[in-house]
Amino acid sequence: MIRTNKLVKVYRTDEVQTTALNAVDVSIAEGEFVAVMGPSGCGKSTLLNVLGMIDSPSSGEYFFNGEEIGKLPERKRSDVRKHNLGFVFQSFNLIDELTVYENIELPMLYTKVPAAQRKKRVEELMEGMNIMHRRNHFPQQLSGGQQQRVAVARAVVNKPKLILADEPTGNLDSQNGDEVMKILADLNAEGTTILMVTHSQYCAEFGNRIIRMLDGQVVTENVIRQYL
Amino acid sequence: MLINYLNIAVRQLLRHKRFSALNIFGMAAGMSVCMLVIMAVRDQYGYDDFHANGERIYRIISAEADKNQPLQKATHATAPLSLLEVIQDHSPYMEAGARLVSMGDDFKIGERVFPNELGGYAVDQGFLDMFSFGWEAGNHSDALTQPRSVVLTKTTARRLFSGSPAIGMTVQLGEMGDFLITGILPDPPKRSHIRFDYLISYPTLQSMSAEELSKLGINGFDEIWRGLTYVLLTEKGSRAMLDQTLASQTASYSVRSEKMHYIFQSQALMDVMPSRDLANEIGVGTPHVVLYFLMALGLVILLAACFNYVSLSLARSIKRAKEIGVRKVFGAAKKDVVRQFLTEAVLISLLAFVLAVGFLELLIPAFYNLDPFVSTIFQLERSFSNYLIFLLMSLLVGLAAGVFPALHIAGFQPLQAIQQLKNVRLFSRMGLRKTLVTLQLTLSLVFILVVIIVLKQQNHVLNADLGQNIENIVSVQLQGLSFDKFSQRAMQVKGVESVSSTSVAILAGENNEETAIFGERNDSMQVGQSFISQNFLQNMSIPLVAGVNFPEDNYSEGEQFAIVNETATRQMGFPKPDAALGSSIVASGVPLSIIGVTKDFHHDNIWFSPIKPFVLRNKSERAYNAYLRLSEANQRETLASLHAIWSELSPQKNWYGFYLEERVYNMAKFFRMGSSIIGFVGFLTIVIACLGLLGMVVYVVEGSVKEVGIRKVLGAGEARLVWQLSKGFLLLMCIAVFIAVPLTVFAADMWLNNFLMRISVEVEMVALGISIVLFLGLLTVMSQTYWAARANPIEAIKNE
Repeated sequence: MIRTNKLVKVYRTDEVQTTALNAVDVSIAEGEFVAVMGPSGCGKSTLLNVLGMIDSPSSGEYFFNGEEIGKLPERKRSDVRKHNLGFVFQSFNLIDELTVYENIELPMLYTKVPAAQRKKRVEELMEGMNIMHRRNHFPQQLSGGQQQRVAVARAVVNKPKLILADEPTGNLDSQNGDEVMKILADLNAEGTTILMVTHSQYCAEFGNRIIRMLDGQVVTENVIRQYL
Repeated sequence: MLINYLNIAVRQLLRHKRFSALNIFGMAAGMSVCMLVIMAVRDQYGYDDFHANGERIYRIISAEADKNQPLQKATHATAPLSLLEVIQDHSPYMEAGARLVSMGDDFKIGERVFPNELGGYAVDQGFLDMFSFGWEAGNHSDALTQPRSVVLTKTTARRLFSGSPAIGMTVQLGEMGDFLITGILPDPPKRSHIRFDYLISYPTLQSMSAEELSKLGINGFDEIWRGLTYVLLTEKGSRAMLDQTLASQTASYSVRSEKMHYIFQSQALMDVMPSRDLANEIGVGTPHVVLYFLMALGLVILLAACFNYVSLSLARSIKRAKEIGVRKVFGAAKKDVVRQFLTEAVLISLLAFVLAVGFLELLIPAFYNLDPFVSTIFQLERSFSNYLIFLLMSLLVGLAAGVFPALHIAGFQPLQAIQQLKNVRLFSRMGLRKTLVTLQLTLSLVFILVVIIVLKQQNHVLNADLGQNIENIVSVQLQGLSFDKFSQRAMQVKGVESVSSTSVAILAGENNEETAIFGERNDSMQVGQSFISQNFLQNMSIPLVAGVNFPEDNYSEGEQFAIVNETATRQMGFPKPDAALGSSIVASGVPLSIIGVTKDFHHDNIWFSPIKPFVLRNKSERAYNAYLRLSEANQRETLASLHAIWSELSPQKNWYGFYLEERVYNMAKFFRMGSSIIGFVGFLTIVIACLGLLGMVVYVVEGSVKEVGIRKVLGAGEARLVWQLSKGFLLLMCIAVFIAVPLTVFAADMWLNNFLMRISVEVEMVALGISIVLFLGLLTVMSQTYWAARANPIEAIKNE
């Protein structure tokens, strides 16, 4: 599903040049649950952003489902993104002015799903995530765990092929963190590919492969269990 | 999707009440002024649009001058009364034509008198055919064909006959005698430049003797002063044809006259109002230039309000970045974000529209109260079409103000946006917003300086030395009452110091220009002329610089003497005033010897008309106005006594008396109206500018919470912090000062050159304007920075 070839991302300011990704080669097959680990600043979030098409590589190649994505303009990338990807962030990134229902519904508005279908799908997800009773609440009225469940629901509402999760449990206590990881594991079990950045070995072990990074490079790859 | 946009927009508004209030209030203030301007301008451009044939009706306008003086365009709304017949003879393309000669006299029915209350015109029958004033009763086709016919408006008929039938009845009109009522018309619409209470038949004038006509101010039918001429062209006729005929008549009239030459031009009916500043104009309307000025002011204010929206929205965009980032990550295209922000802008503009309509209800009476003159000119209409235009304007304003922030925000990169925009460039340190606020401050200062300069100029003229003392002078129109009779009785009233007479109401807008002949070579010059009583100069404190006043027994050997002003002696070529004494001058055909020379005194419009050569003559039968000097004390009682004497001596005529000072002040009605409007707009501009400034300060202060906290922890004092946060804004104000001051001073200096008596722009005036803007600006800035500097630093750091 994903293959990169010598992927490089360099950040430049007036005086400083930082290489966040240094010739990274990764490949992820459909149905995998891959965790990316490494110390702060090693480039794992940058890798996630580039693979999630919300940032573009400085050089190298990025193939998504066989198509070279890295050089596409933002409009095209946006199109690929909205039909194929779902995102979960550490800080949830829910829109404060929208209710739980509206936040989950949002991606479907951009893919022009008819209203009746939207309603059915959002309610089905809220039911599954156990947040139905909070449907008309605003994010600031929810606990962290509830907010992240809303975020996960939003990420999967368009049934994406790939979910990119950036420290999804970073802002949660262990119990809520566990719940979120179980949801992700279930989604993976249902066939969704997951790429997750985490600091937590415990969370990483929910996946079937761990990619370890240091100073913008992939240093090791451990297969925890073969995915089926 | 639209519902989602609206949801967000409404919730944003409710969540950020202060920003929303600033945005809506600022926009509504600008919109309401624009609404007022639209109402006023539509009112003025809506004149005379009710005439079915309006497109084919033209007025003939004219000018005359000495043959040695150039003549380029028509300056008078009137034209020779004889012209219509000539045109009719020469032009097959004319369907109808009408002359209008203004009338105003007492109406008398039996013993009941209606003194001088009604105004009307002597008109041709063509008037009824070409204009669409409508018809109520009587025979429309020949109502004004016979001499001594009169047609009344419905209101006049009701007033004169209290509801009983008027047609076929007779009314007496002043000294002209009896008139037969042949028709009733509806009242002319308010937006007609021709307003009347009655119309008499033009053949009445044609049946009069030269002497009778002279009493009506008609001295021959070739004079251009007395009547207005309108023509209706046939469907096949064109203005070019009319102009061609007028050009040939221009030549023909000029050839016929020994001394004068003429110019006749056409003016489309729809161009009559707003007025083109023609003399003898009958319609009351705002000059074009005032309307253009109003439109420009409205636009400037609206733009200032839009700037505020742009500025505040950009300030808010940093806080909206996360939302935009999330939307983009989840598939929103640039156009989706643009649409969302435009929806918000339009929603705000619609809310502002509602508020603006409310403001408008406050503005309309304030506008009418600017000057009594305003309400006589404008009829602001709360019509459906006006409100529809306001609504469209509001939508346009919303789109115009929203498009820039929308494009800017939609351009955020999703990653930067979602990372809370540490890296999003907000116009290189808010350069654009600074520019906008500086522009607003500049405009505010310009307006304030203009108001100060205009007011100073107005006071300067009103307090200027007029060459006479008009304080406590009451002018009374004698309307045929004998001056001797009136003055004898008036002098007995306690508080009346002296009474003098003048044929022309000097300084009250009246003028009597004559050609005077002087010197051995019979040179001529245009002079103002008035017949005065012997004590006039003394009464008005006009000093003589040479010679003496008229002798007491001036009448014993007929009229012999004239007194002229200094300007006249200069124009006659005398090096010194006393050299003119004893020389002769022929005024209105009467040879006179100059007996005295007065110091120059103002006799015409003190704002723009220079002092011209003036001839004073002494002739008691031309005593049309009495000028009474009252003592300071108990003037109310004195005036009451004078009223009583008037009622006794002239029971059938209304009392027309006024303080000369008031009349001089009233001459500046457009001037005063203009300065009131500029003041009003200036006030609104500075309010809007301060709102813009406030929005920017709030944004800067919110963004500096952490910095202020750290500085405080490190020991910075409050005063220092306030300075730290405010100095940037002070710099903007200084830039505004540097732009506005030279610009305004330069423009004001050019404008002031138009005046006869002008001020120069002084440092104190500029300093006052700057102080006002700095004071209000700093007050706005410090209202925020002071509280930010006083906040608990720990809270600040924690919050961040």
